[in-house]
Amino acid sequence: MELSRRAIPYTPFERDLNETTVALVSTAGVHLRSQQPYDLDGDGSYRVIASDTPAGEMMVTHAHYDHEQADRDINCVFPIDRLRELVAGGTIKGLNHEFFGMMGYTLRLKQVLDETAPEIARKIERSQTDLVLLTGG
Amino acid sequence: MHVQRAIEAAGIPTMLITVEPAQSAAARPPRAVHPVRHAIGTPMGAAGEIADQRATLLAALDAVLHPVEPGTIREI
Repeated sequence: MELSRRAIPYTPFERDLNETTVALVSTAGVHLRSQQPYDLDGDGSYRVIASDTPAGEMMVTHAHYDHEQADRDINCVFPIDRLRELVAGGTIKGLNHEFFGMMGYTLRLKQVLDETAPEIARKIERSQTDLVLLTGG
Repeated sequence: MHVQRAIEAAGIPTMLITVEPAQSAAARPPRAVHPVRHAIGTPMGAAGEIADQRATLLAALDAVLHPVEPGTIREI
């Protein structure tokens, strides 16, 4: 168990950026305004955020950091517009259709380990994603 | 970050952008960068600071192209 915890999974990145499809995963508490907010007392669930969603339809629910800046500009924690600009400019090839939001604060760690993390990994593995960027709050 | 390790273990490379390097280091991330000028709440840069957000994103992508030892959190 100790060895498993200490080992670092690693997959080499072996392509050019302009051939790379990127997905974004954030534990900053980002979700759509139309989705159920995270439970501020702790929430290990996740939300699927379509990568073509306008930034104004996203919001932050999180009690453990000051998200006043992200309330004004979601790109502070979830650089959706900046990624779209890199696609438009040809720096990266494209964005995976699904991005993912989590709150990153839960007392139910087992839910994250046994359900949320494997589910997000499975969805990404089955997609066209070549690289995943992750942000916290 | 457990989700990062799960994704990487599934065979997809990952890069974490963190403003809490000590906390992130404890989770042994496969790849991570720390934008040293950014505070908690603004890992990519402050609200409306488009050029800074873009530069941070590009620095994180550049770090993907120039690998160092897994578990290292690089300052950008």
